[in-house]
Amino acid sequence: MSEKAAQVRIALRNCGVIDPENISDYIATDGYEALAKALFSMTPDEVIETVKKSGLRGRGGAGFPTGIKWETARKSQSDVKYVLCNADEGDPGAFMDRSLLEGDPHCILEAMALCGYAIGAQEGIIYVRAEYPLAVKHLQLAIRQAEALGLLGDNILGGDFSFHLSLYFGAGAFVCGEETSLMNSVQGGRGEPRIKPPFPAVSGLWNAPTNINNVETYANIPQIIRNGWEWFRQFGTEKSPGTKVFALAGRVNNVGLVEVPMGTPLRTIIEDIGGGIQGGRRCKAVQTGGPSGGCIPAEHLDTPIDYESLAGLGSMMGSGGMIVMDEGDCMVGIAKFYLTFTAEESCGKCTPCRIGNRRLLEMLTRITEGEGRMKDLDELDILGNIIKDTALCGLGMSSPNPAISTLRFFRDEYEAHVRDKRCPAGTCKKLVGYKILEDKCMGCTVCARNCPVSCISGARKKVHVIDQKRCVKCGVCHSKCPFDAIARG
Amino acid sequence: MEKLTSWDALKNYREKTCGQTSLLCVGEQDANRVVLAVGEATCGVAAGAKKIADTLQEEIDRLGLKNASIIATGCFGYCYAEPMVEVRMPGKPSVYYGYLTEEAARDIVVKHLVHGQLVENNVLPVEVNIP
Ligand SMILES: Cc1cc2nc3c(=O)[nH]c(=O)nc-3n(C[C@H](O)[C@H](O)[C@H](O)COP(=O)(O)O)c2cc1C
Ligand code: FES
Repeated sequence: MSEKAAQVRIALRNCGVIDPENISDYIATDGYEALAKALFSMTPDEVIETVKKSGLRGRGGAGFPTGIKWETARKSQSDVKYVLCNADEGDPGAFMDRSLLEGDPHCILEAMALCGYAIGAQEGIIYVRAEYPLAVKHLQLAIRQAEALGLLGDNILGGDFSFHLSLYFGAGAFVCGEETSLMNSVQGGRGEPRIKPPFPAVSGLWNAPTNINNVETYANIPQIIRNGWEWFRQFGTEKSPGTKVFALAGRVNNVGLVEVPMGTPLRTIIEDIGGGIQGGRRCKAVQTGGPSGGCIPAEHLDTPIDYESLAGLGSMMGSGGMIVMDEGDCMVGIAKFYLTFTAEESCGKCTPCRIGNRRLLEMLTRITEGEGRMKDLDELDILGNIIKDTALCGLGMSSPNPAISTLRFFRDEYEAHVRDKRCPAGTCKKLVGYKILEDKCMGCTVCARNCPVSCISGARKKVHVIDQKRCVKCGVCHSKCPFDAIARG
Repeated sequence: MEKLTSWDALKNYREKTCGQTSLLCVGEQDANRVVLAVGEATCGVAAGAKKIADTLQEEIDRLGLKNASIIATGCFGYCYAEPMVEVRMPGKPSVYYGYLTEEAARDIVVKHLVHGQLVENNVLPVEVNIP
């Protein structure tokens, strides 16, 4: 453990350290101490005040101040209120919440009980993806253990406060991570969003005031209550205090889960923690925010990570997916990948999102297939912004971001596809072809032997040829040829 | 299990036994113990952590190391180096091993646990600050 390490672990402090199936391990690391402290030495208003002063903002995407959300839920008058945990984690490639739930389940239970005490709720539900069987198992076990010790259930720690927790399984629709869809889903309805306001804190699950937070947001709460808001504020920046967990993936050497103070430059994550780019290649862009975010080009790698800076670059913090890309990644292809995902996952309730995303996807598909027109580029931008302005929920309000941001920073790459019918990264299959250079081919047969569809022929020590009709453009010959005799273009 | 009915009860409970199986707290009787913490979250399991844990256990049994035990932890974040194991001994800084194979796992038990030597090739530099 090092003091000057780039990684600072608050949310992940117990992950990989404790045995998550053993409540005694969690208690050993001061687990449930924050709950006891709150129940026996703080009023609900003091708990909320502490969370407010900590400046903690939601880690599920939008970065809304958690304390203000809790305060609204507390002020909403009702006999019944709910505490929800959003463990739907739908962003492709993201696994921060899964790791937290698997590695430190009690910390989420403790935080939800704290929230229940603060807002005046006796019931909590964790909405967790059914595709996370280990997280589900650990949560179920943790709930049973906490109940057996009197840390959940009726009269927690012998006091007046009671709090019951249960699980609800999500079936894997991306839109069900949106809070109003999530609540519809818990009520047995379709996973469709509704217009806000009213916000969940005023009218949520079964129309009762409901506080919903992301897993990682909750994971910070016990630490804030136990150590105080001043302690929390020594990490991160003025407007974005604390740390953020990222699932680092893509072309870096060290993929994994990292937690850094807000304000850390992207470069530190990629170079120091991620160990740089594989094969010594150059970083081209970093995708943050998943299907709602955008691509930040390499020249902005010194940008500090916080909610405002990332939004300023047309991306967003999102839940914490971070995909590092190099010259071998096509920016139009990336935009198309995400649009394929969001067009598929759009619930269909509102027109801009249902139809608009389809049209965006069609344009991107045309461009990657060499059928694009220059006016598509302008239309992508115009339509993208219209969808953002008019969609019903956050899905449509953010789904054009991958296209808009890549167009903003990598317009030349789009133009190469449209004007020159060329994919600079060499990944758009319709735009690349492989050709054997007669003057370089030695007839070594390596390409022919490695071609998965056997479309290369030629005698030993004679120039080989590719049957273009049967070529699937996989690029294997190109990477295997020992004499650089295969040209891609 | 008896319910805890006050803040003090929680504190007493913590002081009594908590975290001992994982060596998170250490008493006099633990001086010679060793805990091997294997990362068995989804990422670790996908990389073969269960097989590594089994191999470590077999080797411990074969050598009759009564002071050594294995626990399963969650993801330590070093997914690229999975499967991995942390060697905990009271009074010493933890040693983290990654990129484990069954052979490396057996090496760790024989070299590190029995002879006190590092298995250099698999040592992971771990730099995290847990405030
Ligand atoms: C399409 C869509 C998907 C979302 N998916 C998630 C998710 O998987 N997990 C999550 O915590 N929040 C997700 N959100 C954000 C939630 O609506 C909500 O803002 C969040 O749970 C609030 O918690 P926080 O304030 O702690 O961030 C999603 C939002 C949208 C629009
Ligand atoms: S929000 Fe679901 S289709 Fe628009």
